[in-house]
Amino acid sequence: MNLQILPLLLKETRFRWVVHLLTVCLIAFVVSLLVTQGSLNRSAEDKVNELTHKLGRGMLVVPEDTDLQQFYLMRYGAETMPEDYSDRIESSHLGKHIQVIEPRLYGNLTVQGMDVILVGRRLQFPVSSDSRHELVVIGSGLARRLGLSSGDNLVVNNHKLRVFAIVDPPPKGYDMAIFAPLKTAQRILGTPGRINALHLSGCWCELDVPALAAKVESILPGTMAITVDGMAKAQIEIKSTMEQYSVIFWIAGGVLVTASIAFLLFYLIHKGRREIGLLLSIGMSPGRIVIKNIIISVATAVAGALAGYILSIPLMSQAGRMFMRVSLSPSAQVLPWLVAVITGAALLASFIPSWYISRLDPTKLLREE
Amino acid sequence: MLELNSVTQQFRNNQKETVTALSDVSLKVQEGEFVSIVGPSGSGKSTLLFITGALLRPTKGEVYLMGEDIYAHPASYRAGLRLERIGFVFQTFNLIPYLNALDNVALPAVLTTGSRRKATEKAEELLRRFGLGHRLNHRVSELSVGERQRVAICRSVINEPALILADEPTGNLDPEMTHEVMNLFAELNRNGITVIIVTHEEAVASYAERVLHLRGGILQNGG
Ligand SMILES: Nc1ncnc2c1ncn2[C@@H]1O[C@H](COP(=O)(O)OP(=O)(O)O)[C@@H](O)[C@H]1O
Ligand SMILES: [Mg+2]
Repeated sequence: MNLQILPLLLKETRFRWVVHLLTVCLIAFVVSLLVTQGSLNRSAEDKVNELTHKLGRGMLVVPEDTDLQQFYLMRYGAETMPEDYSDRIESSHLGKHIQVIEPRLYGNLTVQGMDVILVGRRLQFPVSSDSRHELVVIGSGLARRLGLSSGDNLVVNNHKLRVFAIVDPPPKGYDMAIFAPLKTAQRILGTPGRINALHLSGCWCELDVPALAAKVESILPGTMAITVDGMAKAQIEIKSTMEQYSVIFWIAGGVLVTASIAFLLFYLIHKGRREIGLLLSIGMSPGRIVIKNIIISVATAVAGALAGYILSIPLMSQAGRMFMRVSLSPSAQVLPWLVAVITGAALLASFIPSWYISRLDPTKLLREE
Repeated sequence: MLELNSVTQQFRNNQKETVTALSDVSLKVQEGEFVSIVGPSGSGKSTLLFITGALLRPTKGEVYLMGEDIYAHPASYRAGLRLERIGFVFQTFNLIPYLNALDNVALPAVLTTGSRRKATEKAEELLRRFGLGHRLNHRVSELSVGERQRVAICRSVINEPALILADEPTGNLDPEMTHEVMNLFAELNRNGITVIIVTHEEAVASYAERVLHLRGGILQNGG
Protein backbone atom coordinates (compact mmCIF):
# COMPACT_ATOMS: atom_id res chain seq x y z
CA MET A 1 0.00 0.00 0.00
CA ASN A 2 2.71 2.41 0.96
CA LEU A 3 4.57 1.93 -2.27
CA GLN A 4 2.24 4.56 -3.70
CA ILE A 5 4.08 7.26 -1.82
CA LEU A 6 7.45 6.32 -3.31
CA PRO A 7 7.19 8.43 -6.49
CA LEU A 8 6.06 11.34 -4.33
CA LEU A 9 9.05 10.75 -2.13
CA LEU A 10 11.51 10.60 -5.01
CA LYS A 11 10.17 13.80 -6.48
CA GLU A 12 10.37 15.56 -3.15
CA THR A 13 13.95 14.38 -2.74
CA ARG A 14 14.83 15.68 -6.18
CA PHE A 15 13.14 18.98 -5.38
CA ARG A 16 15.20 19.51 -2.20
CA TRP A 17 18.27 17.64 -3.40
CA VAL A 18 20.83 20.06 -1.98
CA VAL A 19 19.99 19.39 1.64
CA HIS A 20 19.85 15.64 0.96
CA LEU A 21 23.23 15.73 -0.66
CA LEU A 22 24.70 17.72 2.21
CA THR A 23 23.33 15.26 4.74
CA VAL A 24 24.64 12.28 2.80
CA CYS A 25 28.07 13.93 2.60
CA LEU A 26 28.12 14.68 6.30
CA ILE A 27 27.11 11.13 7.20
CA ALA A 28 29.62 9.73 4.71
CA PHE A 29 32.37 11.79 6.30
CA VAL A 30 31.53 10.61 9.82
CA VAL A 31 31.14 7.00 8.69
CA SER A 32 34.45 7.00 6.85
CA LEU A 33 36.16 8.20 10.03
CA LEU A 34 34.43 5.50 12.06
CA VAL A 35 35.35 2.77 9.61
CA THR A 36 38.94 3.98 9.44
CA GLN A 37 39.30 4.16 13.18
CA GLY A 38 37.65 0.79 13.68
CA SER A 39 39.80 -0.89 11.05
CA LEU A 40 42.99 0.73 12.33
CA ASN A 41 42.13 -0.63 15.75
CA ARG A 42 41.75 -4.10 14.39
CA SER A 43 45.03 -4.05 12.55
CA ALA A 44 46.90 -2.51 15.49
CA GLU A 45 45.65 -5.36 17.59
CA ASP A 46 46.69 -7.91 14.99
CA LYS A 47 50.09 -6.31 14.81
CA VAL A 48 50.65 -6.51 18.56
CA ASN A 49 49.55 -10.12 18.55
CA GLU A 50 52.00 -10.87 15.80
CA LEU A 51 54.84 -9.19 17.69
CA THR A 52 54.06 -11.06 20.86
CA HIS A 53 54.20 -14.20 18.87
CA LYS A 54 57.54 -13.19 17.39
CA LEU A 55 59.02 -12.40 20.75
CA GLY A 56 58.27 -15.96 21.82
CA ARG A 57 60.42 -17.00 24.73
CA GLY A 58 62.84 -14.18 24.09
CA MET A 59 63.35 -10.95 25.92
CA LEU A 60 63.43 -7.42 24.58
CA VAL A 61 65.43 -4.73 26.37
CA VAL A 62 64.70 -1.12 25.47
CA PRO A 63 65.39 2.30 27.06
CA GLU A 64 62.92 2.72 29.90
CA ASP A 65 61.25 5.81 28.39
CA THR A 66 60.36 3.97 25.21
CA ASP A 67 56.71 4.29 24.19
CA LEU A 68 56.07 0.61 23.69
CA GLN A 69 52.85 1.08 21.84
CA GLN A 70 54.64 3.21 19.27
CA PHE A 71 57.60 0.84 19.28
CA TYR A 72 55.36 -2.08 18.40
CA LEU A 73 53.81 0.01 15.66
CA MET A 74 57.35 0.61 14.33
CA ARG A 75 57.44 4.25 15.21
CA TYR A 76 60.69 4.75 17.01
CA GLY A 77 61.42 7.53 19.44
CA ALA A 78 64.72 9.26 20.28
CA GLU A 79 65.40 7.15 23.38
CA THR A 80 68.64 5.20 23.19
CA MET A 81 71.04 3.28 25.41
CA PRO A 82 74.76 2.56 25.13
CA GLU A 83 75.79 -0.02 22.58
CA ASP A 84 78.12 -1.66 25.12
CA TYR A 85 75.11 -2.83 27.10
CA SER A 86 75.27 -5.95 24.98
CA ASP A 87 78.79 -6.70 26.24
CA ARG A 88 77.82 -5.78 29.77
CA ILE A 89 75.01 -8.32 29.86
CA GLU A 90 77.16 -10.97 28.23
CA SER A 91 79.94 -10.59 30.79
CA SER A 92 77.50 -10.49 33.75
CA HIS A 93 76.59 -13.55 35.81
CA LEU A 94 73.49 -13.91 33.64
CA GLY A 95 75.62 -14.29 30.54
CA LYS A 96 75.73 -18.05 30.75
CA HIS A 97 71.93 -18.30 30.50
CA ILE A 98 71.75 -16.21 27.38
CA GLN A 99 72.70 -17.72 24.07
CA VAL A 100 72.05 -14.88 21.67
CA ILE A 101 72.44 -11.18 22.28
CA GLU A 102 71.37 -8.92 19.44
CA PRO A 103 71.91 -5.17 19.74
CA ARG A 104 69.67 -3.18 17.37
CA LEU A 105 69.16 0.40 16.37
CA TYR A 106 65.78 1.01 14.79
CA GLY A 107 64.80 4.27 13.17
CA ASN A 108 62.34 5.88 10.79
CA LEU A 109 63.57 7.54 7.63
CA THR A 110 62.11 9.25 4.65
CA VAL A 111 63.70 8.20 1.41
CA GLN A 112 62.49 9.97 -1.71
CA GLY A 113 59.25 10.80 0.03
CA MET A 114 58.67 7.25 1.24
CA ASP A 115 58.60 6.10 4.84
CA VAL A 116 61.35 3.59 5.41
CA ILE A 117 62.41 1.66 8.48
CA LEU A 118 66.08 1.51 9.23
CA VAL A 119 67.29 -1.56 11.09
CA GLY A 120 70.82 -1.36 12.39
CA ARG A 121 72.12 -4.77 13.46
CA ARG A 122 75.22 -6.90 13.49
CA LEU A 123 75.83 -7.64 9.84
CA GLN A 124 78.96 -9.01 8.22
CA PHE A 125 79.68 -7.96 4.69
CA PRO A 126 82.74 -8.84 2.60
CA VAL A 127 85.19 -5.95 2.64
CA SER A 128 84.04 -3.42 0.10
CA SER A 129 86.39 -2.25 -2.57
CA ASP A 130 84.65 1.06 -2.62
CA SER A 131 85.08 2.72 0.74
CA ARG A 132 82.86 5.65 -0.12
CA HIS A 133 79.71 3.49 -0.13
CA GLU A 134 78.46 1.56 2.85
CA LEU A 135 76.76 -1.74 2.16
CA VAL A 136 73.15 -2.40 3.12
CA VAL A 137 70.41 -4.94 2.48
CA ILE A 138 66.97 -3.69 1.53
CA GLY A 139 63.43 -5.08 1.56
CA SER A 140 61.98 -6.05 -1.81
CA GLY A 141 59.17 -3.47 -1.55
CA LEU A 142 61.65 -0.65 -1.26
CA ALA A 143 63.76 -2.10 -4.07
CA ARG A 144 60.71 -2.20 -6.31
CA ARG A 145 59.59 1.31 -5.44
CA LEU A 146 63.02 2.81 -5.94
CA GLY A 147 63.85 0.61 -8.89
CA LEU A 148 66.98 -0.71 -7.21
CA SER A 149 68.77 -3.98 -7.64
CA SER A 150 71.90 -5.42 -6.09
CA GLY A 151 74.92 -3.25 -6.64
CA ASP A 152 72.94 -0.04 -7.09
CA ASN A 153 73.67 3.03 -5.02
CA LEU A 154 71.31 5.16 -3.00
CA VAL A 155 71.68 8.20 -0.82
CA VAL A 156 69.98 8.36 2.58
CA ASN A 157 70.38 11.44 4.79
CA ASN A 158 73.48 12.37 2.79
CA HIS A 159 75.00 8.94 3.32
CA LYS A 160 76.04 7.01 0.28
CA LEU A 161 74.83 3.44 0.45
CA ARG A 162 75.14 0.50 -1.89
CA VAL A 163 72.61 -2.32 -2.10
CA PHE A 164 74.44 -5.53 -1.30
CA ALA A 165 71.35 -7.69 -1.47
CA ILE A 166 67.58 -7.57 -1.60
CA VAL A 167 65.56 -9.58 0.92
CA ASP A 168 62.77 -11.23 -0.98
CA PRO A 169 60.43 -12.08 0.58
CA PRO A 170 61.20 -9.70 3.41
CA PRO A 171 60.20 -10.48 7.00
CA LYS A 172 56.62 -9.33 7.64
CA GLY A 173 56.49 -5.57 8.20
CA TYR A 174 59.98 -5.05 6.77
CA ASP A 175 58.98 -4.69 3.18
CA MET A 176 60.16 -1.09 3.19
CA ALA A 177 63.22 -1.56 5.38
CA ILE A 178 66.93 -0.92 5.09
CA PHE A 179 69.08 -3.37 7.03
CA ALA A 180 72.45 -1.88 7.81
CA PRO A 181 75.42 -2.67 10.01
CA LEU A 182 75.06 -1.07 13.42
CA LYS A 183 77.81 1.47 12.75
CA THR A 184 76.20 2.56 9.48
CA ALA A 185 72.79 2.91 11.11
CA GLN A 186 74.29 4.95 13.91
CA ARG A 187 75.94 7.28 11.42
CA ILE A 188 72.72 7.69 9.43
CA LEU A 189 70.67 8.41 12.54
CA GLY A 190 73.40 10.52 14.14
CA THR A 191 73.60 8.41 17.29
CA PRO A 192 77.12 6.99 17.44
CA GLY A 193 77.62 4.30 20.03
CA ARG A 194 73.92 4.04 20.81
CA ILE A 195 71.25 1.42 20.28
CA ASN A 196 67.55 1.31 21.14
CA ALA A 197 66.85 -2.40 21.45
CA LEU A 198 68.56 -5.50 22.67
CA HIS A 199 67.04 -8.85 21.75
CA LEU A 200 68.01 -11.63 24.13
CA SER A 201 67.20 -15.26 23.73
CA GLY A 202 68.28 -18.40 25.38
CA CYS A 203 67.08 -21.25 27.48
CA TRP A 204 65.88 -19.96 30.78
CA CYS A 205 63.23 -22.57 31.04
CA GLU A 206 64.08 -23.31 34.62
CA LEU A 207 64.51 -19.66 35.53
CA ASP A 208 61.96 -17.35 37.08
CA VAL A 209 61.37 -15.05 34.09
CA PRO A 210 60.02 -11.95 35.88
CA ALA A 211 62.97 -12.19 38.30
CA LEU A 212 65.35 -12.47 35.36
CA ALA A 213 63.84 -9.35 33.78
CA ALA A 214 64.36 -7.46 37.03
CA LYS A 215 67.98 -8.61 37.16
CA VAL A 216 68.60 -7.49 33.59
CA GLU A 217 67.15 -4.10 34.42
CA SER A 218 69.46 -3.74 37.42
CA ILE A 219 72.53 -4.65 35.37
CA LEU A 220 71.54 -2.28 32.58
CA PRO A 221 70.36 0.92 34.30
CA GLY A 222 67.74 3.01 32.53
CA THR A 223 66.25 0.09 30.61
CA MET A 224 63.17 -2.05 30.73
CA ALA A 225 63.17 -5.71 29.91
CA ILE A 226 60.07 -7.01 28.23
CA THR A 227 59.03 -10.61 28.09
CA VAL A 228 55.97 -12.23 26.63
CA ASP A 229 54.36 -11.73 30.05
CA GLY A 230 55.14 -8.03 30.00
CA MET A 231 54.08 -7.83 26.42
CA ALA A 232 50.73 -9.40 27.16
CA LYS A 233 50.22 -6.88 29.91
CA ALA A 234 51.13 -3.97 27.64
CA GLN A 235 48.85 -5.38 25.03
CA ILE A 236 45.94 -5.49 27.41
CA GLU A 237 46.64 -1.87 28.28
CA ILE A 238 46.78 -0.82 24.67
CA LYS A 239 43.60 -2.67 23.98
CA SER A 240 41.76 -1.06 26.84
CA THR A 241 42.86 2.47 25.93
CA MET A 242 41.94 1.83 22.34
CA GLU A 243 38.61 0.46 23.37
CA GLN A 244 37.97 3.49 25.53
CA TYR A 245 38.73 5.78 22.65
CA SER A 246 36.70 3.64 20.30
CA VAL A 247 33.63 3.77 22.47
CA ILE A 248 33.84 7.55 22.76
CA PHE A 249 34.58 7.90 19.08
CA TRP A 250 31.72 5.69 18.00
CA ILE A 251 29.26 7.30 20.38
CA ALA A 252 30.27 10.70 19.05
CA GLY A 253 29.90 9.37 15.51
CA GLY A 254 26.49 7.91 16.26
CA VAL A 255 25.35 11.19 17.78
CA LEU A 256 26.59 13.09 14.74
CA VAL A 257 24.85 10.78 12.30
CA THR A 258 21.64 10.95 14.31
CA ALA A 259 21.90 14.72 14.47
CA SER A 260 22.41 15.01 10.71
CA ILE A 261 19.39 12.88 9.94
CA ALA A 262 17.36 14.69 12.56
CA PHE A 263 18.38 17.99 11.04
CA LEU A 264 17.44 16.81 7.57
CA LEU A 265 14.02 15.66 8.71
CA PHE A 266 13.44 18.83 10.66
CA TYR A 267 14.41 20.90 7.68
CA LEU A 268 12.24 18.91 5.29
CA ILE A 269 9.19 19.02 7.51
CA HIS A 270 9.66 22.66 8.30
CA LYS A 271 10.22 23.65 4.68
CA GLY A 272 7.41 21.43 3.51
CA ARG A 273 4.93 22.18 6.25
CA ARG A 274 2.44 23.80 3.90
CA GLU A 275 2.67 20.77 1.62
CA ILE A 276 2.03 18.62 4.65
CA GLY A 277 -0.99 20.79 5.49
CA LEU A 278 -2.20 20.32 1.94
CA LEU A 279 -1.61 16.57 1.99
CA LEU A 280 -3.51 16.32 5.27
CA SER A 281 -6.38 18.37 3.85
CA ILE A 282 -6.75 16.12 0.84
CA GLY A 283 -6.95 13.16 3.17
CA MET A 284 -3.48 11.69 3.32
CA SER A 285 -3.17 10.19 6.77
CA PRO A 286 -0.58 11.54 9.19
CA GLY A 287 0.72 7.97 9.48
CA ARG A 288 1.62 7.91 5.80
CA ILE A 289 3.38 11.22 6.04
CA VAL A 290 5.38 9.90 8.98
CA ILE A 291 6.26 6.74 7.04
CA LYS A 292 7.33 8.88 4.10
CA ASN A 293 9.75 10.71 6.38
CA ILE A 294 11.03 7.54 8.00
CA ILE A 295 11.81 6.14 4.55
CA ILE A 296 13.68 9.35 3.77
CA SER A 297 15.73 9.12 6.96
CA VAL A 298 16.62 5.46 6.51
CA ALA A 299 17.49 5.93 2.85
CA THR A 300 19.68 8.92 3.61
CA ALA A 301 21.43 7.06 6.39
CA VAL A 302 22.08 4.04 4.19
CA ALA A 303 23.29 6.20 1.31
CA GLY A 304 25.59 8.07 3.67
CA ALA A 305 26.92 4.86 5.17
CA LEU A 306 27.63 3.33 1.76
CA ALA A 307 29.34 6.48 0.55
CA GLY A 308 31.30 6.63 3.80
CA TYR A 309 32.46 3.04 3.49
CA ILE A 310 33.62 3.66 -0.06
CA LEU A 311 35.31 6.89 1.02
CA SER A 312 37.10 5.05 3.80
CA ILE A 313 38.99 2.85 1.31
CA PRO A 314 41.41 5.58 0.18
CA LEU A 315 41.35 7.08 3.67
CA MET A 316 42.37 3.76 5.18
CA SER A 317 45.24 3.21 2.86
CA GLN A 318 46.47 6.72 3.63
CA ALA A 319 46.04 6.31 7.39
CA GLY A 320 47.61 2.87 7.28
CA ARG A 321 50.68 4.26 5.56
CA MET A 322 50.84 7.13 8.02
CA PHE A 323 50.42 5.18 11.25
CA MET A 324 51.49 1.65 10.48
CA ARG A 325 53.56 1.70 7.35
CA VAL A 326 51.26 -0.72 5.63
CA SER A 327 48.41 -0.22 3.23
CA LEU A 328 45.20 -1.11 4.98
CA SER A 329 41.69 -1.67 3.73
CA PRO A 330 38.46 -1.34 5.71
CA SER A 331 37.95 -4.26 8.02
CA ALA A 332 34.77 -6.24 7.46
CA GLN A 333 34.55 -6.61 11.22
CA VAL A 334 33.53 -2.97 11.42
CA LEU A 335 30.42 -3.60 9.34
CA PRO A 336 28.09 -4.96 12.03
CA TRP A 337 28.94 -1.99 14.24
CA LEU A 338 28.35 0.37 11.39
CA VAL A 339 25.00 -1.17 10.54
CA ALA A 340 24.02 -0.93 14.22
CA VAL A 341 25.00 2.75 14.48
CA ILE A 342 23.26 3.70 11.24
CA THR A 343 20.07 1.81 11.93
CA GLY A 344 19.95 3.18 15.45
CA ALA A 345 20.52 6.71 14.25
CA ALA A 346 17.91 6.46 11.52
CA LEU A 347 15.31 5.03 13.86
CA LEU A 348 16.09 7.50 16.61
CA ALA A 349 15.86 10.37 14.18
CA SER A 350 12.55 9.11 12.78
CA PHE A 351 10.84 9.90 16.04
CA ILE A 352 11.15 13.51 15.03
CA PRO A 353 8.69 13.47 12.13
CA SER A 354 6.20 11.44 14.13
CA TRP A 355 6.44 13.92 16.94
CA TYR A 356 6.52 17.02 14.80
CA ILE A 357 3.73 15.99 12.44
CA SER A 358 1.43 14.97 15.28
CA ARG A 359 1.86 18.54 16.50
CA LEU A 360 1.06 20.21 13.19
CA ASP A 361 -2.34 21.79 12.83
CA PRO A 362 -3.28 21.60 9.13
CA THR A 363 -5.66 24.52 9.44
CA LYS A 364 -2.85 26.74 10.68
CA LEU A 365 -0.61 25.59 7.85
CA LEU A 366 -3.31 26.24 5.29
CA ARG A 367 -3.96 29.71 6.70
CA GLU A 368 -0.31 30.74 6.29
CA GLU A 369 0.11 33.21 3.46
CA MET B 1 -26.54 16.29 3.32
CA LEU B 2 -24.69 18.74 5.57
CA GLU B 3 -25.82 20.05 8.89
CA LEU B 4 -23.96 22.27 11.35
CA ASN B 5 -25.54 22.31 14.77
CA SER B 6 -24.77 25.33 17.01
CA VAL B 7 -21.12 25.30 16.07
CA THR B 8 -18.87 27.57 18.11
CA GLN B 9 -15.15 27.90 17.60
CA GLN B 10 -12.82 29.68 19.97
CA PHE B 11 -9.08 30.14 19.62
CA ARG B 12 -6.42 31.34 21.95
CA ASN B 13 -4.38 34.00 20.29
CA ASN B 14 -0.76 34.81 21.04
CA GLN B 15 -1.73 37.08 23.92
CA LYS B 16 -3.56 34.11 25.47
CA GLU B 17 -6.91 35.83 24.96
CA THR B 18 -9.87 33.84 23.77
CA VAL B 19 -11.04 34.77 20.28
CA THR B 20 -14.43 33.60 19.16
CA ALA B 21 -14.15 32.88 15.44
CA LEU B 22 -17.62 31.35 15.12
CA SER B 23 -20.45 31.62 17.53
CA ASP B 24 -23.42 29.33 17.50
CA VAL B 25 -23.50 28.77 13.77
CA SER B 26 -26.20 26.47 12.47
CA LEU B 27 -26.52 25.64 8.83
CA LYS B 28 -28.25 23.10 6.63
CA VAL B 29 -27.22 22.40 3.07
CA GLN B 30 -29.19 20.06 0.81
CA GLU B 31 -27.58 17.68 -1.59
CA GLY B 32 -26.85 19.35 -4.92
CA GLU B 33 -26.98 22.88 -3.59
CA PHE B 34 -24.54 25.65 -4.55
CA VAL B 35 -24.09 27.83 -1.50
CA SER B 36 -21.81 30.79 -0.97
CA ILE B 37 -20.95 32.40 2.31
CA VAL B 38 -19.86 36.03 2.14
CA GLY B 39 -18.08 37.92 4.87
CA PRO B 40 -15.25 40.33 5.43
CA SER B 41 -11.78 39.17 6.31
CA GLY B 42 -11.60 37.74 9.82
CA SER B 43 -15.30 36.94 9.96
CA GLY B 44 -14.64 33.23 10.40
CA LYS B 45 -15.13 31.98 6.84
CA SER B 46 -12.03 29.76 6.72
CA THR B 47 -12.74 28.44 10.17
CA LEU B 48 -16.26 27.50 9.11
CA LEU B 49 -14.89 25.74 6.04
CA PHE B 50 -12.27 23.78 7.99
CA ILE B 51 -14.87 22.64 10.49
CA THR B 52 -17.22 21.61 7.68
CA GLY B 53 -14.38 19.81 5.94
CA ALA B 54 -13.49 17.54 8.90
CA LEU B 55 -10.19 19.37 9.44
CA LEU B 56 -10.99 21.19 12.68
CA ARG B 57 -12.98 19.93 15.60
CA PRO B 58 -15.25 22.77 16.79
CA THR B 59 -15.14 23.92 20.40
CA LYS B 60 -18.87 23.28 20.62
CA GLY B 61 -21.54 21.84 18.36
CA GLU B 62 -21.79 18.98 15.88
CA VAL B 63 -21.28 18.57 12.18
CA TYR B 64 -23.32 15.97 10.31
CA LEU B 65 -22.21 14.95 6.87
CA MET B 66 -24.59 12.56 5.13
CA GLY B 67 -26.17 11.80 8.44
CA GLU B 68 -22.91 11.07 10.26
CA ASP B 69 -21.58 13.06 13.18
CA ILE B 70 -18.10 13.41 11.71
CA TYR B 71 -16.29 14.50 14.88
CA ALA B 72 -17.61 11.45 16.72
CA HIS B 73 -15.18 9.44 14.58
CA PRO B 74 -11.41 9.16 14.97
CA ALA B 75 -9.01 11.35 13.00
CA SER B 76 -8.11 8.52 10.61
CA TYR B 77 -11.75 8.13 9.64
CA ARG B 78 -12.00 11.84 8.98
CA ALA B 79 -8.88 11.64 6.80
CA GLY B 80 -10.64 8.98 4.74
CA LEU B 81 -13.70 11.19 4.53
CA ARG B 82 -11.63 14.07 3.15
CA LEU B 83 -9.97 11.77 0.68
CA GLU B 84 -13.15 10.23 -0.71
CA ARG B 85 -16.12 12.47 -0.01
CA ILE B 86 -14.79 16.03 0.20
CA GLY B 87 -12.78 18.16 -2.22
CA PHE B 88 -10.93 21.26 -1.07
CA VAL B 89 -9.89 24.30 -3.08
CA PHE B 90 -7.94 27.07 -1.36
CA GLN B 91 -7.02 30.60 -2.31
CA THR B 92 -3.29 29.90 -2.69
CA PHE B 93 -0.92 27.00 -2.23
CA ASN B 94 -3.24 24.38 -3.55
CA LEU B 95 -0.60 22.30 -5.28
CA ILE B 96 2.49 20.34 -4.34
CA PRO B 97 5.33 22.37 -5.87
CA TYR B 98 7.49 19.41 -6.89
CA LEU B 99 4.75 17.59 -8.78
CA ASN B 100 3.52 18.51 -12.23
CA ALA B 101 -0.10 19.31 -12.96
CA LEU B 102 -0.91 15.71 -13.84
CA ASP B 103 0.62 14.23 -10.69
CA ASN B 104 -1.01 16.86 -8.51
CA VAL B 105 -4.44 16.03 -9.86
CA ALA B 106 -3.78 12.29 -9.71
CA LEU B 107 -2.52 12.27 -6.12
CA PRO B 108 -5.85 11.72 -4.28
CA ALA B 109 -6.76 8.97 -6.74
CA VAL B 110 -3.37 7.30 -6.26
CA LEU B 111 -4.06 7.26 -2.54
CA THR B 112 -7.50 5.69 -2.95
CA THR B 113 -7.07 3.32 -5.88
CA GLY B 114 -3.45 2.44 -5.28
CA SER B 115 -2.98 2.43 -9.03
CA ARG B 116 -0.84 5.13 -10.50
CA ARG B 117 -1.83 4.28 -14.02
CA LYS B 118 -5.57 4.48 -13.43
CA ALA B 119 -5.18 7.66 -11.41
CA THR B 120 -3.07 9.31 -14.07
CA GLU B 121 -5.50 8.38 -16.82
CA LYS B 122 -8.34 9.91 -14.90
CA ALA B 123 -6.33 13.02 -14.08
CA GLU B 124 -5.44 13.51 -17.70
CA GLU B 125 -9.06 13.21 -18.76
CA LEU B 126 -10.08 15.82 -16.18
CA LEU B 127 -7.33 18.25 -17.12
CA ARG B 128 -8.25 17.95 -20.79
CA ARG B 129 -11.89 18.52 -20.02
CA PHE B 130 -10.98 21.71 -18.14
CA GLY B 131 -8.85 23.03 -20.98
CA LEU B 132 -5.47 22.15 -19.51
CA GLY B 133 -4.46 19.40 -21.92
CA HIS B 134 -1.39 21.38 -22.92
CA ARG B 135 -0.22 21.81 -19.32
CA LEU B 136 -0.12 18.19 -18.14
CA ASN B 137 3.60 18.02 -17.51
CA HIS B 138 4.11 21.56 -16.34
CA ARG B 139 5.45 22.22 -12.89
CA VAL B 140 3.34 24.39 -10.61
CA SER B 141 5.78 27.27 -11.01
CA GLU B 142 5.25 27.14 -14.78
CA LEU B 143 1.48 27.62 -14.53
CA SER B 144 -0.42 30.88 -14.39
CA VAL B 145 -2.43 31.64 -11.27
CA GLY B 146 -5.66 30.91 -13.11
CA GLU B 147 -4.32 27.61 -14.41
CA ARG B 148 -3.23 26.62 -10.92
CA GLN B 149 -6.76 27.22 -9.64
CA ARG B 150 -8.20 25.07 -12.41
CA VAL B 151 -5.68 22.33 -11.67
CA ALA B 152 -6.69 22.54 -8.02
CA ILE B 153 -10.34 22.17 -8.98
CA CYS B 154 -9.49 19.08 -11.04
CA ARG B 155 -7.64 17.67 -8.04
CA SER B 156 -10.63 18.36 -5.79
CA VAL B 157 -13.02 16.39 -8.00
CA ILE B 158 -10.88 13.45 -9.07
CA ASN B 159 -12.25 11.16 -6.36
CA GLU B 160 -15.81 12.18 -7.27
CA PRO B 161 -16.60 13.82 -3.95
CA ALA B 162 -20.11 14.63 -2.78
CA LEU B 163 -19.02 17.99 -1.47
CA ILE B 164 -16.61 20.66 -2.65
CA LEU B 165 -15.42 23.30 -0.22
CA ALA B 166 -13.67 26.32 -1.71
CA ASP B 167 -11.97 29.01 0.37
CA GLU B 168 -11.69 32.26 -1.62
CA PRO B 169 -10.90 30.30 -4.77
CA THR B 170 -10.87 33.47 -6.88
CA GLY B 171 -9.01 35.65 -4.39
CA ASN B 172 -5.96 35.94 -6.64
CA LEU B 173 -7.69 36.02 -10.01
CA ASP B 174 -8.60 38.78 -12.41
CA PRO B 175 -12.31 39.25 -13.29
CA GLU B 176 -12.06 37.17 -16.45
CA MET B 177 -10.42 34.21 -14.72
CA THR B 178 -12.83 34.60 -11.83
CA HIS B 179 -15.71 34.23 -14.23
CA GLU B 180 -14.15 31.15 -15.79
CA VAL B 181 -13.42 29.47 -12.47
CA MET B 182 -16.85 30.24 -11.04
CA ASN B 183 -18.43 28.76 -14.14
CA LEU B 184 -16.42 25.60 -13.50
CA PHE B 185 -17.89 25.35 -10.02
CA ALA B 186 -21.35 25.94 -11.46
CA GLU B 187 -20.76 23.17 -13.98
CA LEU B 188 -19.61 20.76 -11.28
CA ASN B 189 -22.68 21.68 -9.29
CA ARG B 190 -24.91 20.94 -12.29
CA ASN B 191 -23.30 17.50 -12.37
CA GLY B 192 -24.66 16.89 -8.88
CA ILE B 193 -21.82 17.91 -6.58
CA THR B 194 -22.74 20.04 -3.61
CA VAL B 195 -20.57 23.18 -3.62
CA ILE B 196 -19.88 25.59 -0.78
CA ILE B 197 -17.77 28.65 -1.50
CA VAL B 198 -16.63 31.24 0.99
CA THR B 199 -15.59 34.65 -0.29
CA HIS B 200 -15.46 38.29 0.66
CA GLU B 201 -16.77 39.38 -2.75
CA GLU B 202 -20.50 39.71 -3.27
CA ALA B 203 -20.00 39.42 -7.03
CA VAL B 204 -18.38 36.03 -6.64
CA ALA B 205 -21.01 34.92 -4.20
CA SER B 206 -23.76 35.72 -6.70
CA TYR B 207 -22.80 32.70 -8.82
CA ALA B 208 -24.37 30.55 -6.12
CA GLU B 209 -28.04 29.69 -5.75
CA ARG B 210 -28.03 30.65 -2.10
CA VAL B 211 -25.94 33.41 -0.51
CA LEU B 212 -25.35 33.56 3.23
CA HIS B 213 -23.61 36.30 5.18
CA LEU B 214 -21.13 35.81 7.95
CA ARG B 215 -20.15 38.71 10.17
CA GLY B 216 -18.03 38.49 13.29
CA GLY B 217 -18.52 34.76 13.49
CA ILE B 218 -22.28 35.00 13.32
CA LEU B 219 -24.26 33.65 10.38
CA GLN B 220 -26.76 36.38 9.47
CA ASN B 221 -29.56 34.78 7.50
CA GLY B 222 -29.20 31.24 8.81
CA GLY B 223 -29.89 28.23 6.70
N1 LIG C 1 -5.46 29.03 14.87
C1 LIG C 1 -5.91 30.22 15.28
N2 LIG C 1 -5.46 30.75 16.43
C2 LIG C 1 -5.93 31.94 16.85
N3 LIG C 1 -6.81 32.65 16.20
C3 LIG C 1 -7.31 32.20 15.05
C4 LIG C 1 -6.87 30.94 14.54
N4 LIG C 1 -7.54 30.72 13.38
C5 LIG C 1 -8.34 31.80 13.19
N5 LIG C 1 -8.21 32.68 14.18
C6 LIG C 1 -8.97 33.92 14.32
O1 LIG C 1 -10.32 33.65 14.09
C7 LIG C 1 -10.92 34.67 13.34
C8 LIG C 1 -11.53 34.11 12.07
O2 LIG C 1 -10.51 33.70 11.21
P1 LIG C 1 -10.77 33.10 9.76
O3 LIG C 1 -11.69 31.94 9.90
O4 LIG C 1 -9.46 32.84 9.13
O5 LIG C 1 -11.49 34.29 9.03
P2 LIG C 1 -11.66 34.59 7.47
O6 LIG C 1 -11.32 33.35 6.75
O7 LIG C 1 -13.07 35.01 7.33
O8 LIG C 1 -10.71 35.70 7.16
C9 LIG C 1 -9.84 35.71 13.09
O9 LIG C 1 -9.96 36.71 14.05
C10 LIG C 1 -8.58 34.94 13.28
O10 LIG C 1 -7.58 35.79 13.74
MG1 LIG D 1 -9.88 32.97 5.24
